[in-house]
Amino acid sequence: MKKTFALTTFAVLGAVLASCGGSSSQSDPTIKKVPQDFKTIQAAVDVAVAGDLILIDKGIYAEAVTVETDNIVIRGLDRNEVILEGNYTLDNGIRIVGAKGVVVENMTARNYRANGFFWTGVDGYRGSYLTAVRNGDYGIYAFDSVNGLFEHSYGGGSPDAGFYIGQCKPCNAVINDVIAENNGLGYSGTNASGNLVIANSTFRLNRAGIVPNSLDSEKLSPQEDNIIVGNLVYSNNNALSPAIGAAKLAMGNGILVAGGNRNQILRNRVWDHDIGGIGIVPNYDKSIFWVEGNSVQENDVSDSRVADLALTALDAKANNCFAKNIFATSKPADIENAQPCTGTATAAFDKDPLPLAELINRVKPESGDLKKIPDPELQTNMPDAAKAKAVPMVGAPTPIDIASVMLPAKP
Amino acid sequence: MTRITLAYCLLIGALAGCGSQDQANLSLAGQPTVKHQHLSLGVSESVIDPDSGRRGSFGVVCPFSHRNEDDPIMYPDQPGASHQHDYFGATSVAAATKWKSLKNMPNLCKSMGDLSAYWAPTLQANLLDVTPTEMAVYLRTPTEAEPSQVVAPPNGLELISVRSGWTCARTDTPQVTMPSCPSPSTTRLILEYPDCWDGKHLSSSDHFSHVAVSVHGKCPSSHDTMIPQMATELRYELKNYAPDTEYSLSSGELNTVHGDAILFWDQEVMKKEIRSCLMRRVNCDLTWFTSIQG
Repeated sequence: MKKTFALTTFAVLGAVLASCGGSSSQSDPTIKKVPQDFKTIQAAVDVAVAGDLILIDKGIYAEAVTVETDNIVIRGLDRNEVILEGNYTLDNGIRIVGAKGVVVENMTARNYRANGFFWTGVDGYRGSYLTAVRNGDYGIYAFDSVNGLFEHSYGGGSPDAGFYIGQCKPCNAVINDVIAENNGLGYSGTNASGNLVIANSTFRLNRAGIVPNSLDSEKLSPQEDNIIVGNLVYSNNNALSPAIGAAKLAMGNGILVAGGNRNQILRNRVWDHDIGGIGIVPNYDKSIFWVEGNSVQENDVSDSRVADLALTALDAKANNCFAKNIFATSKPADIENAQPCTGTATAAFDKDPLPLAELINRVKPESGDLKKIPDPELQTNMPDAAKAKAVPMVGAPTPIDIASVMLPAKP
Repeated sequence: MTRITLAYCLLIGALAGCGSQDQANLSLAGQPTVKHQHLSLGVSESVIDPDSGRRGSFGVVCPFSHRNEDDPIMYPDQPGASHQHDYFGATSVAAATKWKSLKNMPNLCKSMGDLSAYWAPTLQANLLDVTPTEMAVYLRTPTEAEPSQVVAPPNGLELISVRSGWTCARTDTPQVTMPSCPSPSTTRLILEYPDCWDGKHLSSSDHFSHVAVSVHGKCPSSHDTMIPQMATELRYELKNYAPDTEYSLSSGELNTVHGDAILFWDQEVMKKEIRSCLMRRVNCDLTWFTSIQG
């Protein structure tokens, strides 16, 4: 009987520990509820240990959260009603600083001066079912980080990019099933190279859609080895979007590789662009980043005012290639015969070239007002947010079967 | 000893970590001999360190605010006494500005913590003023230092730059002479400030004795409080100027370059950034990347 009592006591104590975040220990991951157990997200994060799930109830949280603990999961119970509010004065919604494996899912961050969700200096990151809108630099982004996944998320109304992955090689990263709209750039990836896949996503109504790029401003240049597959990319001419200089420069392009190498652009549907549908061009910083080895195949590109497919390379030997695309116009002319992916070129490399200088110098509209960007429509919640198991991001993301990703239908 | 030499000795003394008694004596020697002596330990480091491993940093972008011929450090309460300065961050800095007033002064810096005032002479092209697009402030662990040594600088601390250099790209090592940056890259003036403090004085009569510069990650015993190494990067878009343009500063030739700051941060934010970014050796704020080609 005495033994039974002891066991019962232990069981009760365990239950208390499991439900009371403040009592956790290193070996005792728990669910920490906000605001029930902790008034703020930061308070819960500050006492979290690896394996913890921080579960946030509906509400508006005017916080700038910094995460320094490995392998925790921060989850909202309702993507559309768990809202981190920056009020245009706070810097980042959730910033993960050098902590491995941190997952953030199922919530919204809006009106932050810098970023909605931001991982920096980490190995292992995941953002799922996130909405970021009207944030002053980026919506959802990872810098100097590897082994990551952004999925089922929305980034809108940022003057730099809705989604950004920068300075990694190899990145081992996947962006899958996201929507980027009303940004300067839908996706920007400065010096982000190696095993980086952007798939099954929509990039629309930005200044420019998907823009991998090389710059001297970050380490690990040049940008290389991305796979951009199965995306819908359209109407990226949006003069009302906020835009930094680079976004103005790139305006009117769907997919624009700016100074990158060996990227594969496959089976994307791209339409309605003032300049180019898919362009491969050098980028000019202090260095000139030429382009080589990029492959553009099996895309459907239409309604581009300058060219559906465009290339400016140092010479024909740079091995950029175009094949099996559906398109109407190109610069240079007859691009699939001028720069074929197999066999010998049968058209001139330099006939009717892309007027790059004229396009660079073209005057673009000034930045739109970030504060006027609307909220998105209600976004899909993660399944079973209240009970789903917390899974930190350990190792590289599950690879996407590139061959199985088809050209998406027009919506 | 000429007055110029004296000024130089004051600088070297402060930077080498002279004893406070010596500084006090020296500082009685008089006011600065020129409106803003050129003070430099040499050329700044590259603002990022391509191969030196992980070094924590955080930063903030502060747009250009205004200009006037004041200098609240060198010529307090003497409006019009200085050469022209460009101000960043705090929006109404003038000769009469005292550090405590920064707390409630509107500030353009894009950070929830930085309320500092920053200023530098105006760049001039063929003697006409050039307005910088903005200034980036980098705060990082001093070179070769252990981040655990770094503490938050006090509000009101006055700093004047001790190193300078020009670059076209952040990954380049700054150089003494102003380069002709290929379009469309931005011309950048990097200014670095002392990273050791005497732990007592927000300023000093010679404007340097209260601070010093670390050597191989160590502060001198006279100034044994290590603070983040601050660099400011002034950005200029000069692509529309002709190649033969002659550049100068409102303070004189380009070699009179310098920067000034009165620090004022939300101390909790500063401490948190030191702990989160420097201690964890992470590059925390990329806001200063985003204006490239801006």
